[in-house]
Amino acid sequence: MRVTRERVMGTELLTVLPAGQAAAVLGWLRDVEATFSRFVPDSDVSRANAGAGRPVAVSGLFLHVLTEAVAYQRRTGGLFSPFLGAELVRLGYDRDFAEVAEVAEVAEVAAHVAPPAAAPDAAAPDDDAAPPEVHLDLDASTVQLPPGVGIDLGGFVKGWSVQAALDALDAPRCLIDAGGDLVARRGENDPPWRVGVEHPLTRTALGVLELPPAAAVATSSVARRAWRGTDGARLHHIVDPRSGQPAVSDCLQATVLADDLAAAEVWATCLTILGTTEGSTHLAELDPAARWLTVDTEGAVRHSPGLPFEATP
Amino acid sequence: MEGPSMSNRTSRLIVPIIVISGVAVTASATYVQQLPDAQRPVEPAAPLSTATLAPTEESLGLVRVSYQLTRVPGHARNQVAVWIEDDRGNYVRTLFATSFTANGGYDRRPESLPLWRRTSGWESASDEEIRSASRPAQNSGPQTLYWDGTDRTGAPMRPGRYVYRVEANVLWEKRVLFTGTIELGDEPTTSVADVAYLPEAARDEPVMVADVRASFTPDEPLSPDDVTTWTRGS
Repeated sequence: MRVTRERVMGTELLTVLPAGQAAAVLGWLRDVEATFSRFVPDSDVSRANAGAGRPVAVSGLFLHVLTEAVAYQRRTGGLFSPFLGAELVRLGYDRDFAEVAEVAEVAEVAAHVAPPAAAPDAAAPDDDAAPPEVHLDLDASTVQLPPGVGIDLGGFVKGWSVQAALDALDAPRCLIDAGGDLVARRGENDPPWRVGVEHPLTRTALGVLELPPAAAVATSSVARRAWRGTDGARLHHIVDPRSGQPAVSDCLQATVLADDLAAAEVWATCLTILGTTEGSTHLAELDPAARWLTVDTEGAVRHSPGLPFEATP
Repeated sequence: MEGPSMSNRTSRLIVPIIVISGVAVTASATYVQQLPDAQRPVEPAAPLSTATLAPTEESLGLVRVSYQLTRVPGHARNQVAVWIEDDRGNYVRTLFATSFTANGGYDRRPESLPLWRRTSGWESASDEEIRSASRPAQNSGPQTLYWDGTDRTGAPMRPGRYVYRVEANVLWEKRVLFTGTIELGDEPTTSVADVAYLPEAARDEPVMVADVRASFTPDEPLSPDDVTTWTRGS
């Protein structure tokens, strides 16, 4: 088998697929990108976010994925939210990350300094007012967002669409990796796929996962996709829905092994937000079959029992 | 199962209530139509016109065909087909065809994409071919289509020079045809397509397709002894 590489959905894609299937998968992911990118002006997400309180006609695909994301939002008690688009824009993640000046200073990542508290401004919501409503009309195929609320399905739709691609293929042995979030399949007696786990601080090998026959792996890290705010503070893309700010916990990086990539994306994000102790407990309640590995601010590595992980000596 | 409650909200965050109305009737798989479907019966493959080409066991790599599309308002426009031929002009496979024409719109509008239909024999295309190539009209903006070096049946082609074509109706019978060649082998290659106006008067119509080019990147061997990839946060 051979490896195909391409950049799509703002990330590096790697596929190991039988002949004739890589192009179909890439075409599908291009279509998904055109629908869900915040940085494509006429994507469904861009048009919905620009709706200014009015219903906006969107595709069935968009509503389908958003509805699934809302189900995860409810399942996680709101720790995962597809409605953080306005917060990301306010924080400065308002264009393709390739155009954002990334910061990766190791000392700052390890310190994991909390961003300064946001000062109230004129757009601040009134606590006494009734919460605004998002309306998803599945019959009319419209979405209506209140002012100040934006959709961002970035990591979730990447996981969902890669999982959907794998589910549609009949290849007995294959792998699709979208920037380190991946799905893989093999026969029971085939040798396992070996996937390295990178240390968030040293960017060297932490160890290797040997994947079960059907597996999805997602990693959430505050060391990636980080930039400077207007006040010079280091910001990153894992936003805590409880604060609207980049998450601050003792967890620098969380890797989750599950049976579905959309779920693994959500679980890894929640683990990073809640921290290594509360997050792992939370995950055990939500998905007892999922396995996890975390790296905390002290560099300590922990993982769940049963994770097929071989640490680098 | 209930998760942690939302707490510690700052005054800046708006937490909306989600109201869903209507009935979801579509399964996820419905949206993945261009992918090969294991549940569908395999239709007999049409005989290849490239009989002299012995296929390789694995595909050679990835060809990207890219172009800039500007949709032109109005009727009888915006039909596009993109396909591959071998260097003898034999049809290999279609990468994209606007769904109106791909699904029989040529019965009502015979001017639609005549070269592509004739070259591909599209009137006798299999359901699987139509399903994989037919897509809604593209929005304005940069477009990228992929070819992984396989023919209409999914069999890998051998190394060599191939032709990519983009045909587009700009108004009724007026068309543009872009033609370029790309070499598939051990090295990356790129090319830019030439344009022809059919007829010459099509040159006076608004520009609908521009900057057609292709690039090829050979696949990499997969080492069985090493890690295949890395997970690191994205």
